[in-house]
Amino acid sequence: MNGPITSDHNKPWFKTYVWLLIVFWTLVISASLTWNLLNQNQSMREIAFSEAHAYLNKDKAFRFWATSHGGLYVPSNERTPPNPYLTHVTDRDIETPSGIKLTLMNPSYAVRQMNENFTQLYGVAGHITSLKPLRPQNAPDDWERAALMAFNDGKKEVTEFTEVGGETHLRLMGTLVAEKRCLKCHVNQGYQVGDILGGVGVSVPMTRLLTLKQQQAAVAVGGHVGLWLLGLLGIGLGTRQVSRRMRVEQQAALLESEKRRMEDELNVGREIQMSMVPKTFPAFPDRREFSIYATLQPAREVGGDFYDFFFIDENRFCLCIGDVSGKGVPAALFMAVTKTLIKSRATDDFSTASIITHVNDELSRDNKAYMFVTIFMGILDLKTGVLVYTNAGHNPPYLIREDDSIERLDQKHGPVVGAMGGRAYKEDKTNLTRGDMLLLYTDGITEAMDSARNQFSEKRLAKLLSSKKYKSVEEVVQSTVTEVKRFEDGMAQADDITALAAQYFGILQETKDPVLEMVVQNRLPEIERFKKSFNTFSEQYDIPTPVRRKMNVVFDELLNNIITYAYRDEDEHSIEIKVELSGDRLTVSITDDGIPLNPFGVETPDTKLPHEERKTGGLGVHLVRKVMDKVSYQRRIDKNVITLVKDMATATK
Amino acid sequence: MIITTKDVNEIKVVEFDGEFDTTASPAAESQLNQLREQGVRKILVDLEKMDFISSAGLRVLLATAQELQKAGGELRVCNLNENVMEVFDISGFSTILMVFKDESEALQGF
Repeated sequence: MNGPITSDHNKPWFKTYVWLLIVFWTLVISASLTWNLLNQNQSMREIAFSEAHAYLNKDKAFRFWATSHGGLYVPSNERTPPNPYLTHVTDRDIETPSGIKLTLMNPSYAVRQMNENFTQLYGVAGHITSLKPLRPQNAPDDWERAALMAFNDGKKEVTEFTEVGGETHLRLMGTLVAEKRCLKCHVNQGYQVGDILGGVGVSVPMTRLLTLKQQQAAVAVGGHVGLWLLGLLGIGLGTRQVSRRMRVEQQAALLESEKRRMEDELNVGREIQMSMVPKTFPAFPDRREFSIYATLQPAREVGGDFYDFFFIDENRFCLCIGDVSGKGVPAALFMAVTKTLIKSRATDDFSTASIITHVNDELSRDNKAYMFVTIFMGILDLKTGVLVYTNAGHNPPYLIREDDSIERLDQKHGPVVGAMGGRAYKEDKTNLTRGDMLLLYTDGITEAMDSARNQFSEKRLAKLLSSKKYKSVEEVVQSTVTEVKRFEDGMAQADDITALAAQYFGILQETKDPVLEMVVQNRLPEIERFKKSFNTFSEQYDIPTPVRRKMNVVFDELLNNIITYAYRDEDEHSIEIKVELSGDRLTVSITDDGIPLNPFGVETPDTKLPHEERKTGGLGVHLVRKVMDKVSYQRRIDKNVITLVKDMATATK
Repeated sequence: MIITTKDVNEIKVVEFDGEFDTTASPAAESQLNQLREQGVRKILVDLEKMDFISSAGLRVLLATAQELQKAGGELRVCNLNENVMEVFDISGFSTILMVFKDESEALQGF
């Protein structure tokens, strides 16, 4: 994992979003709270006003009632002495027939007394006042004066929340309009009906209401704060949910990319592995001494199998198979190194024991991962059919002989390669004859499992190999793999499946025709030597005696000619003679490296020679021409080649 | 695979119960590494209850043996069953590791 892991829920856009949500919520709550408080305020005001009006009206009502009677007569005593301000009123004081003295109480006086005597019960105190009061103590205070002035300006009612004695009060004053009855006492002041005598007011303490209002406000605030907090909690939880989900998604995405990276690594490993094994078949179509075929089916996780084959020299062919412990790219790389070491060592070492010993020493050095590899390696001499082999911890290969018998090459020549250095490996030899087949394989085959966890096993493999005659290496390998896959029956392939088969045919003759090949020197006695060989050859292959005799003459003439005339020096020269019998046709070719000399030519190009030396004698050449059906001469670069053909079937000579 | 240990003097006897395959190897490897880091120098691996060993398992044993050797210690193996012995033979591990028939034999001279 490269770089720091940043989860989305730390990204700025998310934070902004959350803050916006919080701000919005706060605004909503604030708005609601404000609205609530305003409502409460309004309600309180209305209640206060209702109260004030109620008091005032009660006062007014009582006054009007008292006024409607023109006043009240009550017993005159200390409690209610006669009103000094009513001296001008006749009948201020009266006496009942039984002698009780009664005095007139004007409405104001009556209300005042009621107020004073039953303050608690009466409750809110009303106050009658005027700009021109009859009783000086009834004079207005500043607020009342201002209100009375306002009445004169036409206002009917004045209300105000104001401080009275440190406490908030609602002061309310209404007009007192003169009626006829009022003039009874107030006529002297110059009022007329309809004038504003003064005002009657109440001062309602707001303490109780205010306290109530505060309580209600507190509840509203508390409730809203609670709601706000709940909202924040909700936002918080929601945010956490969302960010958790984003984190999970991110982790899933990371896992996805991890998985893809691992898949890529597996693919790389597989590519390395597959690139290192030869896959072109037929591998050596021009070499008819043997045939070879192999397959490697990698498991999902690169399993470390490998095989290789190559020519060490013209006639020595090397084949090997192996299995690296471990999986994945490290195994593939280890395998690549192993393969390279084997190939490079094999170029000048023909002993498998020696090669493996060396490779083991190299691999054991610096092997920090403690990987090792099983190897079976064989070197086949194509001329002799001798197979030299070393098995280092690998599955023993099977040798299917031409007669269909199965041999298991089960010798062990040393431990797995790469585990421990300084070990001397051994080797064994066996002879392959024409038609013998060698099968190399890995444990991906023998340890393949079916659904019941049974293994394919060597027993099954051996049985399969002996079950029929395999006509080709392709057939053996493909049958084996098919059978293993069938056995697996759909179960996942756990390990690489690798098989390599090689069949030996031996050096084949170019032609089945009898051939006599001989090299003679440029000395006359050599002619005899050749004739002897030719005679033996003739007898061996039933060349008729007349033909034989005639051929002897031909050889005599031509060889003589060459030995005598073809060479300018005193050196030894070789003359190659080849006699081929193909059915009834006898083909002869004679090759020498002397000067250009054509015995059949009319004239030789070399005119330096004396005339009699140029030809072998007309009779000799004539005889040759007569005996053979065809004669020809060719100069090939620096050689004279004479070719003669005789068809014995049509021989009339 | 279940791994249990017991002490015989300064030798740690480690028992593998089950299959020493590719999935079991990492756990086994880390446990053996832990023992080495704790300073254990002589380890006897008892394979009596081990049914099966793969190349991954062989590798862990090889690595442990080599590392112990570097630190001047030794790894010994005992109580191999037939199958396991065969694997050891084919792979040649019987010549690489110190293999003994049973515990008493293995402890002699350890």
